[in-house]
Amino acid sequence: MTDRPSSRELLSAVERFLDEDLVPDLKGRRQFLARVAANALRLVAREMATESPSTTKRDPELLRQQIRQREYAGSEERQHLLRILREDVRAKLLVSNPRLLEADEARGRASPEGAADRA
Amino acid sequence: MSPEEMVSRLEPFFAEAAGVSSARIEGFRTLTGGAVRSAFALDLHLSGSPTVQELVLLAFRPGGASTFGAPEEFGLLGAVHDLGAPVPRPAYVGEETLGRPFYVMERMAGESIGRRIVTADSLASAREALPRQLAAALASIHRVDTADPRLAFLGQPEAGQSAAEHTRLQLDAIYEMIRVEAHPVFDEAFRWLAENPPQEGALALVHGDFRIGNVLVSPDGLEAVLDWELAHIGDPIEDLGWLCGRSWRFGLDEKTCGGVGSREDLLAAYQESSGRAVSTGDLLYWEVFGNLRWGVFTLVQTRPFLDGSSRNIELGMIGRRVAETEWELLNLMEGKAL
Repeated sequence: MTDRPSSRELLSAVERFLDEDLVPDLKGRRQFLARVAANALRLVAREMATESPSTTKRDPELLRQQIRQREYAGSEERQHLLRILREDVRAKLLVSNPRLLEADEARGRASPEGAADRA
Repeated sequence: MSPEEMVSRLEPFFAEAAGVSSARIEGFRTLTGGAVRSAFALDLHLSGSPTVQELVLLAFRPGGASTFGAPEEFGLLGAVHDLGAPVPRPAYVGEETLGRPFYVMERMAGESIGRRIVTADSLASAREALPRQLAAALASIHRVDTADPRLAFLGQPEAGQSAAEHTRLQLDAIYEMIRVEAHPVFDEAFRWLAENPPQEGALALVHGDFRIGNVLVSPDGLEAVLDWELAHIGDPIEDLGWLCGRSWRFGLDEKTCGGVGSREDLLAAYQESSGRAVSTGDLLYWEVFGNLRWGVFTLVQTRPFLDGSSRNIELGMIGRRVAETEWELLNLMEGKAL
């Protein structure tokens, strides 16, 4: 246990300091970089809130080698491969760009469990 | 070198190059200071001439990571300009004057910020015209004679190799060299490209970075095609696929051609301008290639942050954008893309 404020509360305070105090006072490139910094903190906060952070379920290096060695060559194995790749990329996007994911899944496509049918 | 020093060196250079007794520079200012190249705006008054030349000077860092230098790009731009494609007219080229190579071209007006081009109210009529104008510009670039000696320095496929194979192997080598972690979607995309080659056509001059963000747009539409540093000899359809890449739609994802039109608009207009009918399969190939290329470029850009040579947060955050290109590659390979 640690004392309050929690790491989340501190992150959130720094984020607001950047957005509300620094960004309006800065110009040009420094203003842009302050915005990027606030975005980076939001990413970190999302990652902390995710149960399995943006780490993928599978070992990407092993998958990489299997693909290079032409495993998953048959059509069913290929389907399986694309499904697990999508799951892993989805987990990363939940942290790095959830808005893109939401927009695509709201369009009813590109979700792992056939959200297309719901649209 | 200070701006004042640059001006004092450039004035005699321009006078000599133009064959006049004196030259005067006004309004000298820095436009962008890039890692490899810097751009400056200047207004040139030549003695005996009533007109002012509005110019842009591009200075190249010697030994930079650029694929080619100032005199090469100057010649290339000349070859493209001769054919009537919308590019700034190249005007002067210099080697010694500034201590680094540079060339000077006509300064053209227009918006270059991608997000503004796809959303600004003032550019609504331009967006109507853009798909056709972009296709026409590409068709004229692709008509440049690849045997023109001014293009001799450009990279091209080796004998016995298709353009698709050449670009794929080249990109794969960069991926192998640059990656810190594995990105299995990229490996799957490289395999997909190898198994789904496009129809082979005649080689052409390929701009290599033809997209919204690298063109100037006025309310009338397309004014100029900029940023030639990735030009090469290859398959012209590579440019069409890159233009449709999702990252260059600036949020207007449904408008699959650069956030301003559709793939169908682009293919129809390109056929009209070039006489070449491009299959949707070939466009898909080059769109997969384009998204993969952008994905590998994001790995390249984030590398200085990862190895500690840069503390720039922007470069760090680019590393977390790789997942977006992976996602789009899966969409394209599974036929689920917009």
